[in-house]
Amino acid sequence: MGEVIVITSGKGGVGKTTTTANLGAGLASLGKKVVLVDTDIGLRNLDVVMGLENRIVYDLVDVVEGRCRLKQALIKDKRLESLYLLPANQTRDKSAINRQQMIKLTEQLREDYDFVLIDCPAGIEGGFKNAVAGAEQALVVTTPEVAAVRDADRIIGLLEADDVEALRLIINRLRPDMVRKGDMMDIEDIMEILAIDLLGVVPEDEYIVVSTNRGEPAVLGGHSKAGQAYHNISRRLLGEEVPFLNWETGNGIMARLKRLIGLG
Amino acid sequence: MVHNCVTIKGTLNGLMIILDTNRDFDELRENLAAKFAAAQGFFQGATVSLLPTSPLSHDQTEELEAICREYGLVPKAGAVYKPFHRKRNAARKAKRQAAGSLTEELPTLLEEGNLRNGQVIESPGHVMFVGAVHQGALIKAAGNILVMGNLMGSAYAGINGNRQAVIIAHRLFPEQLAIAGVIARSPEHNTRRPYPEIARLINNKIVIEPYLNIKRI
Repeated sequence: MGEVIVITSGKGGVGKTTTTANLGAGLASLGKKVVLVDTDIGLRNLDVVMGLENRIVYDLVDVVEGRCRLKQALIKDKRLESLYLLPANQTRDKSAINRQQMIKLTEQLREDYDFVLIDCPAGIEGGFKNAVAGAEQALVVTTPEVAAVRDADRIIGLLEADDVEALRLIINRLRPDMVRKGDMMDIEDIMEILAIDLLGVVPEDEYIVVSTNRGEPAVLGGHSKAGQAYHNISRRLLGEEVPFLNWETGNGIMARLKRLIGLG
Repeated sequence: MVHNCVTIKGTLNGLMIILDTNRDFDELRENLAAKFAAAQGFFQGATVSLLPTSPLSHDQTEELEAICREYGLVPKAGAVYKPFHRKRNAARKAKRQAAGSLTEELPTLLEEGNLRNGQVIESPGHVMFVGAVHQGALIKAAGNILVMGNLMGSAYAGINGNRQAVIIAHRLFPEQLAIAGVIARSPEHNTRRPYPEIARLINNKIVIEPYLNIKRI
């Protein structure tokens, strides 16, 4: 039986879809069988981020309404053998599915896959409720901004009330240079407010824009910092102990010198 | 957690089971049985006092005690939780009563965990909250509110008009405070003080003072 994990945030634009795509690719590249489910019906994006948008024939709504078999709607990734996508429908809205259908679907998927990653829509309404229905774990994505952290707090409260057991936090788009100057919330500020386990920190990285436009998850191509962070988070999801990358310390020549002689 | 309606505590006099009577009775009953079942006989032989947040009917109490016996626990005969009061001299007691003190009449709701953005606790009595009250969360109580942790959300005490109600927090950085309908908000600039504080209503204004000495109100 695979693990069903919902990736959620409350606020929009903090990187749920990017995180879903990268963790999916990361887990698949580590040899796991992974399926990504886009539940953002009407505003689907995960297919574009994965570069699979022109392969969609059937979608999530077709599956739950019985117009096709589950296997027919699953799109195999073009790079990784063990990665699949179940895309969202683009013409309907969030009310096209319900909680029972999602529970049934995730139960079916977890029989065949090691990980079922559910990309949740923004908000706390029906779309969110459907997305979390079948999940036993949640990854809460936030950025180091007051508004995103507040929404994450609200979401955590709702997930706790919904009996989602394992709740872990991913801090996205952190800018170590701004944190050092005291212009951005640091990891400790966020952890103090949200009080849940931290799974990983992803730094702000221009390469994410490039990789999203190309439809190629950052974790697969090149050696970007964000890609490295997602790779580490994927390993932590598999239970490995991976030390946190040292975003806080400087990378200037003085900071490197200090680290070299053991002062930093 | 906030959604937990049955809380089991160990005390010197056996187990104390706190029942949130804001919940449906069936839910309480199922939850109690589930907790015992999950403990797999760990509680066997322990004496137990049931502590509803507001009084239960005789039949309901009997029913819950029967569940306790079923799992090998020994309900204390007629166990009722009475708040412990130090003996006061008559004059002081009279003074307190004249001042409209609440402590003798109202039940106290004990909650633990984090009260998160958008979550609300409402109580016809006092509220004792062990944990943090986050921004965007709200506690409303007819009596006093005591937060053992950071109070960063809002707290409304004395919602039925009791002007003697107080709000105490280990760290008081609220969005809003209200006592008997008089509302105050935090000043715009950051004023975090690293000690416990008490908010009271004095001359129709909310006054916040350090809560450091034992003498109260």
